[in-house]
Amino acid sequence: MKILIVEDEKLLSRSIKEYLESSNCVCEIASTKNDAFLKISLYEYDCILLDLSLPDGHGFEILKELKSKNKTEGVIIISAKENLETRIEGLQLGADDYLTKPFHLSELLVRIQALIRRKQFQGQNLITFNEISIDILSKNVLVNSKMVSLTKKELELLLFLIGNQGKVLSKSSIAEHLSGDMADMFDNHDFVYAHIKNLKKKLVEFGAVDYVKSVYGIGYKWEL
Amino acid sequence: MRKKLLNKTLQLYAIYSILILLISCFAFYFFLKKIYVGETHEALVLKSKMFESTYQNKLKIDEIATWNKYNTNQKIVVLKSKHKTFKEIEVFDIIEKEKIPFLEYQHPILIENKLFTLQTKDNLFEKEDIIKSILMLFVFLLVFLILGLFILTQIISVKIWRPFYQTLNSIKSFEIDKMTKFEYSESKIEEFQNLNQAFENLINTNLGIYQNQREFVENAAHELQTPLAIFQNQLALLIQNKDLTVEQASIIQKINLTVARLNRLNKNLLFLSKLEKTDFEKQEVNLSKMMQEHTVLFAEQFDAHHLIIQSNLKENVILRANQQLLESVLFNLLSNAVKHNYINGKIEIILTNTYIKVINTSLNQELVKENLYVRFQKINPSSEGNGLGLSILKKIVEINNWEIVYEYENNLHAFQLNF
Repeated sequence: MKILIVEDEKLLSRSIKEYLESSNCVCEIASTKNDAFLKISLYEYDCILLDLSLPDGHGFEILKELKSKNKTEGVIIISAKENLETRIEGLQLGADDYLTKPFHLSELLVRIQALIRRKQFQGQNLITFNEISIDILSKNVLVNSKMVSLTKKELELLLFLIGNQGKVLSKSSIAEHLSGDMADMFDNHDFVYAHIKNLKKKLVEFGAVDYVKSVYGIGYKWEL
Repeated sequence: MRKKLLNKTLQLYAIYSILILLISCFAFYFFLKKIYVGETHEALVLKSKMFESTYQNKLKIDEIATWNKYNTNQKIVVLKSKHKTFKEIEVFDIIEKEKIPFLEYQHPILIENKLFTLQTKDNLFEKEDIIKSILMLFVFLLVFLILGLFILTQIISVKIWRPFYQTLNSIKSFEIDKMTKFEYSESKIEEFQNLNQAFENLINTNLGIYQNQREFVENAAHELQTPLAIFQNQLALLIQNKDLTVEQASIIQKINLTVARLNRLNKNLLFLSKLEKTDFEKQEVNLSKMMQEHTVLFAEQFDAHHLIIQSNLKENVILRANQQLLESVLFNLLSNAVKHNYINGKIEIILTNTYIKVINTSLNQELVKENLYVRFQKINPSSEGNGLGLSILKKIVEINNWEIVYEYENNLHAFQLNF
């Protein structure tokens, strides 16, 4: 997956690049609007991460540029501004998703994956990991071709873990992914443990390997 | 009790008028008396001179008795003194049946070479009568004067002071957080114009400062988002390190929690500053449904704290409000009930057509009502809260003209929101 990160804050763009590249993505960084224009006109990307406030212009100008050139890149806005108007305007200008800073890198990764799935594999909504396969549309999970019934939260958790395979996920990032804004209002992330436990139990019951590792007190990791 | 400025002036005017009238009343009396007595003196002297010039040479001693019989006010008697004297006497009046004051002029006259005394008298005014009349006149004057003053004051108060009261009302209705401008009508009176301009300056300066302050909070919170994002991302990269020791992991976990707390604080600050400047659109919201959804959302937190939930929700309670704000209210009410609870505690949720009430068990003492909604006034220092939740709640309540009431009874804390 080829990704363009349009972000003027170097430490931020580099951390995104580092995380995404260790998850089989190729990233390029544009730190100004003009830089982004140039890169967009030269290369094709699967996804563009777009910060709205750039030193030489507004991120919306890039959205308009993409639209006028009939480019089909998926765009995820990453902005420090959290307000409904900007969000709606961004989505109307052709952005596909909106993430407010600060966000978890793991969250960003699964959003990119979901976006690319929607864009590229139309009708192809199957995610497989060894003996486990998930149909995104029908929400069916099969382990060794046997249907496992998972709750909505458990399915979300499974997709999140597989999407971030090989990565240590902090409990707070999992909690936030599962319950949105609500989770970050609490320090108590015990419910993450409960969901992980239930998910593991169900998968193992159907003969799957236990891929979920607990990493000290920090969080969990989906690993071969 | 405080007096109105005008009544104070009126009072002073009234006292002054009464004083002046009282003094002039006496002065008037004595002055009048003096003039009258003087006139009477002159009249008596004139009368006796007229006697001297007209009758003295013609009158015989034998005729004195006859003269005296027909002249009540001018009698000839035996010589009393060789000097001319004035004397005040009282004479009993047969008709009025009372004593009447008279002034008598005794004056020696020569009739047929024999000295007699001519007594000419004239009645003086009666003291009581004159005092009565003067008093009546002055009371009459006083009443009219004070009545006049009072009516004038009322007119002044309504007319002249109108700009003042207008200014007062605009100051009363002025709310700095609503960012309303201070409005006043131009006054032709210099003092009021000065007052208005002074207020306008004061308010505009303060509005400017307030605006700056608010923008500062908002900008500061916004500016913090990016460093926080970097902080959080670097941590996410750090935990990927395979060589982490258990100690390091434990430190990272603590940092993780702190970053989460910072995020939370920043989000709340942003939300608060947004609450203060945004007009939120209202729509019909099914509160019963929203409450049910929130209890489902909170199920994980309830379970994590092993809380027993009793909910008594009336169905289809419809409220006209902003969806996002209402969600924030429910969220704050429920999260407080969870955060300040203990393991195996209880939460009771009641929803009726007129209020929501959330009652929870807690180890906390009764909360101090004065500080309840003050920002960063943490109820329990060790709790997860950042001291903004209740301020947000209060702000939303104010925006919607609702009412929030805190009660503490039987070790139970209750927050009731009346719509």
